[in-house]
Amino acid sequence: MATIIAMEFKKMMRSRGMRAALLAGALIVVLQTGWSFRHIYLENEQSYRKIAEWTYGDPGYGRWFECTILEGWLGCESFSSYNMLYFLILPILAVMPYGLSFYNEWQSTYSAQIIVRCGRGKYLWAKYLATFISGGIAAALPLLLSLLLSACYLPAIPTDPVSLQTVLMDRSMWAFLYFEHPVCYALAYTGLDFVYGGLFACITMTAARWLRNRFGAAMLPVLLHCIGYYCIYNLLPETESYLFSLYLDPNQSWGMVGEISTGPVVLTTVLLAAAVTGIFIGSNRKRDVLTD
Amino acid sequence: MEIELTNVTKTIKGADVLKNITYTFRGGCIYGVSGKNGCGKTMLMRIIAGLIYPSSGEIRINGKRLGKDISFPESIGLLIENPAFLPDYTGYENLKLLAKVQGGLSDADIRGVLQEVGLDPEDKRKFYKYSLGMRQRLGIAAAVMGRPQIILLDEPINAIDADGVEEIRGIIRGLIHEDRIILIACHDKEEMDYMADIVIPMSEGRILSETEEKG
Ligand SMILES: Nc1ncnc2c1ncn2[C@@H]1O[C@H](COP(=O)(O)OP(=O)(O)OP(=O)(O)O)[C@@H](O)[C@H]1O
Ligand SMILES: [Mg+2]
Repeated sequence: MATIIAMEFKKMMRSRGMRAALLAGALIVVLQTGWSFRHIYLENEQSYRKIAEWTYGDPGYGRWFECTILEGWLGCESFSSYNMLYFLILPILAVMPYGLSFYNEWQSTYSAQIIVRCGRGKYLWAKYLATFISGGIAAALPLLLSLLLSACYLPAIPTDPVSLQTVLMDRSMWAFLYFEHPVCYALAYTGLDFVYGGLFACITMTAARWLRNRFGAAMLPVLLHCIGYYCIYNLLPETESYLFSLYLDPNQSWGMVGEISTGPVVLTTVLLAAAVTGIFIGSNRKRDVLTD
Repeated sequence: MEIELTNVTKTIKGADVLKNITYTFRGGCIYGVSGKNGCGKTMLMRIIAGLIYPSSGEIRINGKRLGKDISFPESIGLLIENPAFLPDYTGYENLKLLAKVQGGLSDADIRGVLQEVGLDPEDKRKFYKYSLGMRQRLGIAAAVMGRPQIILLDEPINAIDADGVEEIRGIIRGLIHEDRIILIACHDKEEMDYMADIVIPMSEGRILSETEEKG
């Protein structure tokens, strides 16, 4: 089992899709960092100096303008549109590296070569794991990179709750982390997005068989994401805690009707993961290796 | 070495692609399945490899029931229809990946089998740049690599040039062994008679009896 998993991981990391997804993610991060360095850091720095002058050199008055690491982070920066853009296309990035690998291998009968050498079960689980991790990496690495870049010019201090720079309210999910341990908040949320990146890739892998269309299958997660965001949320705003479209973004100022909280998020995530895993393994375990 | 098919029927979406097949393959010779396009040659190979499940009947490999006692044959190499490999890997890398999953093969073995089928192990071209015949040769290399006990070759000489055909025939004949069952499918009757020791005529999913064949 370890051999086939290692092989799938190697293939996944070497795939063109992985390179493309990481490149696209990095591009957004670099553009966003440039934007926030100029428009948040430098401008605030100027205001800060001016105020310090007015107040006869007492730097304490400038605290209102002090930027924190999370304000430069792609996950929480709310002044430019990069944050919205990133969390809109996250499902596409996640699917790019390996979401269609299983479908392609099955259609080309490459799967047959592997299955006669190690059996269906091992192949399916190795594929599932590699696909999950690939989506997770594509979704989470840009967020980590952005955090690192933000740390290069902004201090890792907690955001002042009354500073008006905050994108969370005291009742938001994981607010205690956000206000007390900002880096932990960023890492925890990146972890959640890793899981969803993985699930998106696995949704595409599972559904491709029935959709029989590579592009359609690749677009399915982003379509679900948009339907959740724009349709279900408008009709049933109270459900936001159960809608991944609403809680993927660490900038929790978008929703806020029904309060996102840990319980429903964990419940939705576990149920979704169980459903995707169950359908994928269940529908392929006794499946004839034939092109459909 | 023995593969025993008993009343094997396979129905796909209402169509019987294999009908009530009963046959026993034994090691030591080359079996050739012949018949018109669509008669079920490839399906027969798939079902022996455990890639598709019989709708009824059973397949036993050395007495062990496929799909019950074992989920796939313990030692098998196959080339089915168009050889499929990873497009972004070289021939050597492709075989190396398969060899890892298979286990028990050294780098030298992989180089050896590539040379045997007339491919250069040092060739840095990726599989997607391979010509049709080169793909076919790589497919044969993957099937015979490690000298498995069951070797299924579907149209092995497709797209192979004249010199190549001789080489491939030589390789296949060299594989004959008491403990090995070799099954090839080919729609070219002459080639089939030349290569196979025992020809199995198929038509519309059935194996024809001798009288049916003559008639
Ligand atoms: N993926 C598939 N799904 C459904 N039916 C299939 C599939 N592949 C083949 N068949 C059907 O199974 C039957 C047997 O096909 P098979 O591929 O075994 O023929 P064959 O004897 O190998 O033909 P050829 O000489 O063209 O390779 C055909 O009627 C075909 O239509
Ligand atoms: Mg065929």
